[in-house]
Amino acid sequence: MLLLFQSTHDVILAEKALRLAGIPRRVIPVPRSISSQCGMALEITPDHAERAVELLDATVFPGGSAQGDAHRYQIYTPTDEQ
Amino acid sequence: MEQDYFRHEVNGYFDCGATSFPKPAQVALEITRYLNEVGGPYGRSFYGRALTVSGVIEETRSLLAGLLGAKHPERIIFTHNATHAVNIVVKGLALKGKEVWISPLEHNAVARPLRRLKQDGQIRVRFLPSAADGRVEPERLLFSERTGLIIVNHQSNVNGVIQPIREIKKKAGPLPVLVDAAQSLGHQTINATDWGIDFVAFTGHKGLLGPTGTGGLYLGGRHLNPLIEGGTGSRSESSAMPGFLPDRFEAGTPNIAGIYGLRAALLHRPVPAHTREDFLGLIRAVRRLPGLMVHAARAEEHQGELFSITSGGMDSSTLGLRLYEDYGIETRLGLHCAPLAHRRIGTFPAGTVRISPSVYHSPRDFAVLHAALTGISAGA
Repeated sequence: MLLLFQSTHDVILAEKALRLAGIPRRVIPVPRSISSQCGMALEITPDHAERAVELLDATVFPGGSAQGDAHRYQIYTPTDEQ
Repeated sequence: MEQDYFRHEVNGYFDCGATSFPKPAQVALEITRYLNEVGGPYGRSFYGRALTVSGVIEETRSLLAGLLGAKHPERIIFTHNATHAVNIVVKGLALKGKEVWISPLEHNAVARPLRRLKQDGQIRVRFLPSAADGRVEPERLLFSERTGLIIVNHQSNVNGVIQPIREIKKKAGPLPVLVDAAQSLGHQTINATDWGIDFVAFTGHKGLLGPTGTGGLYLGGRHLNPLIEGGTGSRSESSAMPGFLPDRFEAGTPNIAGIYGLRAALLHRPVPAHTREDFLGLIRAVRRLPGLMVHAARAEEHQGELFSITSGGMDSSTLGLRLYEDYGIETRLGLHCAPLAHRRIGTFPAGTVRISPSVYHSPRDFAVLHAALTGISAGA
């Protein structure tokens, strides 16, 4: 699962929250095939995906993924590929 | 011998209203560490160095948000200084046909951008009612429907008067209020969110003890057009500036080295070497010196950590020169980029000598300053 963010500010907030919670994550460049968002994306392994999203929605982005007031982050999974 | 004693044993730098000195030792160490060891950009890339740097920038943003009582750190925008921040607001708000109300103690950082808009026929500038020391009297405030912005210098850079910004905002209601906190932040409390303040412009190198070239703006939620447009590392496919914060107002690479230094200043703030009573005692003692006039707040509870003096027997340039050459005491002379304030307190165009200490000054430093002024007073 990839987490995409609108700004560096939000990537850092999310990375810190995941780090403090002990959720493994990998910082990778945003795949150009997906988006031209900010230069960092967070890659989460499938077994940690649900927990990661729950944590971010509960503590960092109360509006939820792609539903917040400014769509502050988006979830992208391989199954979304056409 | 006396001159050497003053120069080397005492902190005679009383120009912290211009820029603070000294800084916490960690400020220079962190700047150097970034330049020599860390390196790398803010955002824009994915590797560890970029992540580390971006984390420091965002941590600094959060520290500043905490200091300003701002609940959402993304509402803190990094700028070069307070002047830059003021310009973002004054030139970013839709003010055409509006009245802009200002305190009588505003700095040229406010007066000059407003003059530009006034010359262009866009705004009318009006002064908030005030007491003789320039302190705004909230109970006399009455704003017209055409009011577009209210600007208040939280702590005067001339006489140190603290403005009642909380009460002013209460009176202003939904009208936007911009607080210029260039001199106050680090000395005075601000609770931007709780008080409903719309904008706070601040600098990093005065009361916060950080390096020059750092500063910021708190945005309370009003719509503003960005002053500077360019790359943000986000929404790069679009030629328009992003609509979200903080990117909307942070085009171009920020002063990363400076922000490393500012973070160090915030994390390693020294315990003040003097008390408020020590400072007020200095003012009282200077007031008693014959031939010198103190320009300060009328009431001590409204006094911030700086004040001005003038001499009946010599102009401010001579007074400042005597302080420096005879006693090694460094002060700021003249109009302090605030001719409006000097007009209000009756010291225009001659100006004053400003005494602006920092948290590093001890009661002993104050005693030395007082002794120097006593000597000048006796000989004047």
